[in-house]
Amino acid sequence: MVDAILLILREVLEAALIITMLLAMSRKLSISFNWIVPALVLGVLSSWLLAHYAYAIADALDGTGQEWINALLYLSVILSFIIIGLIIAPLLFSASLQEKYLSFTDNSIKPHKTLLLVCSIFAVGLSLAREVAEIWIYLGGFLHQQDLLQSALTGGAIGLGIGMSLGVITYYLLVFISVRRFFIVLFVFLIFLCGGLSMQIARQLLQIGMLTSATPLWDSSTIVNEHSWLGELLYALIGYDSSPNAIQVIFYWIAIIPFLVALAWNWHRRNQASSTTSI
Amino acid sequence: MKSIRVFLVVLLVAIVTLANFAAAVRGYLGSMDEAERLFNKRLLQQVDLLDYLLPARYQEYLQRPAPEIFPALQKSEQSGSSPQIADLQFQWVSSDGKLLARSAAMPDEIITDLKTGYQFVNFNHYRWHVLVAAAANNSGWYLLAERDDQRYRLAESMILQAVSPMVIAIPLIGFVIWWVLGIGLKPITTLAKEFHAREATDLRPIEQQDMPNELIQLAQSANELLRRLESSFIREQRFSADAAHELRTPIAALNIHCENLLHEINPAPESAYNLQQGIKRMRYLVEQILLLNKTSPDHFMSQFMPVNLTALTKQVAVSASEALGEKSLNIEFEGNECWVEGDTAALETLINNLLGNAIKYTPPNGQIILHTWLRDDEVILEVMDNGPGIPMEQRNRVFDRFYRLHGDRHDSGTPGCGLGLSIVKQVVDLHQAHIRLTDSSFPSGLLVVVTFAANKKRENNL
Amino acid sequence: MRISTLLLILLGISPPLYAMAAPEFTIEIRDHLFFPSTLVVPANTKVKLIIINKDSTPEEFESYELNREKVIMGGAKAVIFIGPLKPGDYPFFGEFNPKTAQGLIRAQH
Repeated sequence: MVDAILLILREVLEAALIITMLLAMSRKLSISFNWIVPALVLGVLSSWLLAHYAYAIADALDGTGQEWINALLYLSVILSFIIIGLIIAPLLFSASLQEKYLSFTDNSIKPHKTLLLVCSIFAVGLSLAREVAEIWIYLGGFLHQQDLLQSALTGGAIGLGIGMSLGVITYYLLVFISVRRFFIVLFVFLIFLCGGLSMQIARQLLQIGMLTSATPLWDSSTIVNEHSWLGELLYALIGYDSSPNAIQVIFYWIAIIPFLVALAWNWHRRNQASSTTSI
Repeated sequence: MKSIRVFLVVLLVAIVTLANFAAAVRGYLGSMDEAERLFNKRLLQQVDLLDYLLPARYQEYLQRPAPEIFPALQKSEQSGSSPQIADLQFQWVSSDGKLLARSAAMPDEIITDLKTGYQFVNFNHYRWHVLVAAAANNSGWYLLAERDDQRYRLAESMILQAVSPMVIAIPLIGFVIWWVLGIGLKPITTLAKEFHAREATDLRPIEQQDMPNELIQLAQSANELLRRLESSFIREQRFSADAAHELRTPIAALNIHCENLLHEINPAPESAYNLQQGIKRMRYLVEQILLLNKTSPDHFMSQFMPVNLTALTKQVAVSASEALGEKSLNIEFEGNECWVEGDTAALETLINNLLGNAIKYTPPNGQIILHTWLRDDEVILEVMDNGPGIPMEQRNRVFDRFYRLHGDRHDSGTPGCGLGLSIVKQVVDLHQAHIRLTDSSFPSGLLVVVTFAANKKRENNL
Repeated sequence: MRISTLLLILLGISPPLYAMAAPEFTIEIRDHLFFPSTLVVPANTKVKLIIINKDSTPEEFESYELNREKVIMGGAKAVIFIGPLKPGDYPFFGEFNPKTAQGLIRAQH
């Protein structure tokens, strides 16, 4: 049962955090939540397809299909998040610290609304696709072992419940902070998330021998073990890896550079604007 | 936070779920540890048992060329009440590492290093918990093995009985929270409904009995506001009445003096006639402004009651017969009896103003048609003339205060101040009716259509 | 410019390494157990691991120490490259049946 809890919590927690963050973003920008429906539909449908064609996918491309698909999904999610990050970056400097919601009519996001929603749908849908597919495969395995099914389902329900509850509580915490603080939190979250996801891409490519790993750069498993609860949480939050390779670290940096550039550019622009107004 | 109830239900269920499931996991892990301890203890007892029986035959077994194989333990499955025993297997090894005896499912080679303690070993398609123990007088080793999956399932099946209800309880808890919050938040809903159902003119204070403490403050503030609003209404009404009186009296006196002047000076100078015209216009303007004030939604205070719109229209038409006769206008009236919910005086003003406009703008010998008719659940009042009509682009503006068609180039010769249609619009809004200006079915002219909601109750009674 | 250089290095260097023949080792999954449960591989060498799942249920090969994770459907086989590894023990487990499916890769000179 604990195995099922851990496995499902691990998958659900990341999805719940992503959904929570993007829903809170909609709330802060006074955009309707309707986009979540196509995102969930996309997620459930594509995860079912992935699980249903798991054999075919695994056999494709000399047995490397699973890794390529995963890498592709990670990449799409990263790109969606980078676009979202670039759109919201100006708000880190312009939004008010007092306001709780930004009225949609007078914010700089307005011209990018469609792009923002499409990226949110893809980010949530494709994150769910990979994670829920693993849950389908896992639970599907128990359909032939009736005696273990109850244990797996109970564990799954507990994992799902814990993950979703944490998501809900995070959502309300985020809703009650000011717009600017929220966007700082969201931006930092996106940076770490994309960094973590890009490390996953590196891992997929290492696994099929496309890239060759050197020995890990460090091993922090004695400080925070990936297998521990804290390790799982850090994995979901920032893609924590206790013994990463040099290539993974390089991938990490490539993924977060767009965010850092956006940050620097908007900071620069804000400074310019404030210096001109002071003159 | 769009709904207090949704917010509370979602957050409370999340917190309860988290606490409940954390407890379930904690309980599960604790119980599994305890079960592990019990199973290990059982293995130790088995060692004791073997240690009673086997050492006595140590020398005998040592001489044997091959280890003795003990048959599999007979499980007491036929006596249904006793639980099935998990497979327990053993090996007996001499102090110099020779296998002396084993149970049926054990392999012939020694399964693991002879190191005292518990460990996991894979053999015979299963993963086994193995206890290695030294015999009492150092005469050898006992290796006891128990299938890990059986042990695990047995322990878990017991613990699941305790954990599963906690999962099933969550939807129930969610439902109960939803229901209880519904009851708890009922006073708010009731208060909101009471406000919503009130007539705009109903300024009675809110009943504060049975109200929870959290809402009493709100109700008190609302009552204070209502009280101030009511006194301001009363003041306003008194002022309007006084102002009407104070304005009308001097104008009436002025009028009488002017008439006297016209009688006394003969022939009267041109300016005396202009003075009389001016007084007439002023009287009209004052009347219109007072009407505009009276029908303004902010000040309108009287209660609505069923009004026979058809009878009212006829009455207005009859009282206008003098003006109609002056211009030899032909008036037609059509329609069935229609009732609306409204204020008689205000509706009379409305019809009066519409008819007055028609009379004013229709050339002599013209046509005016009045209609009242019932369509589905709507009552429609139509006033149609064959005057010049209102150009399309000005139709929206004619309801503005002091807006007059063609600016000041007004050739109708009748007094007007540009308030008539503003008053009409106010009365229409008061009755939540609609007004529409379109072309009349004459070659030229205006058709005014006012649509009211029908008074169903009255209609059914008839 | 730095990014593109890195990408070029990555793309340019990978194919020859991929083509390089790595020593192969096979692990079987039967009854949610790994056979062999301890696999000795050469240290400091890239190794190709072939995992054959003889069960009807899916299994996920996972190792935090090796940094690998792959779902293997029932009756299917999967290929995973590991290493070069420093000498030492690298435990792995089947995430879908972690109670029983446990194993160890030992890198030796």
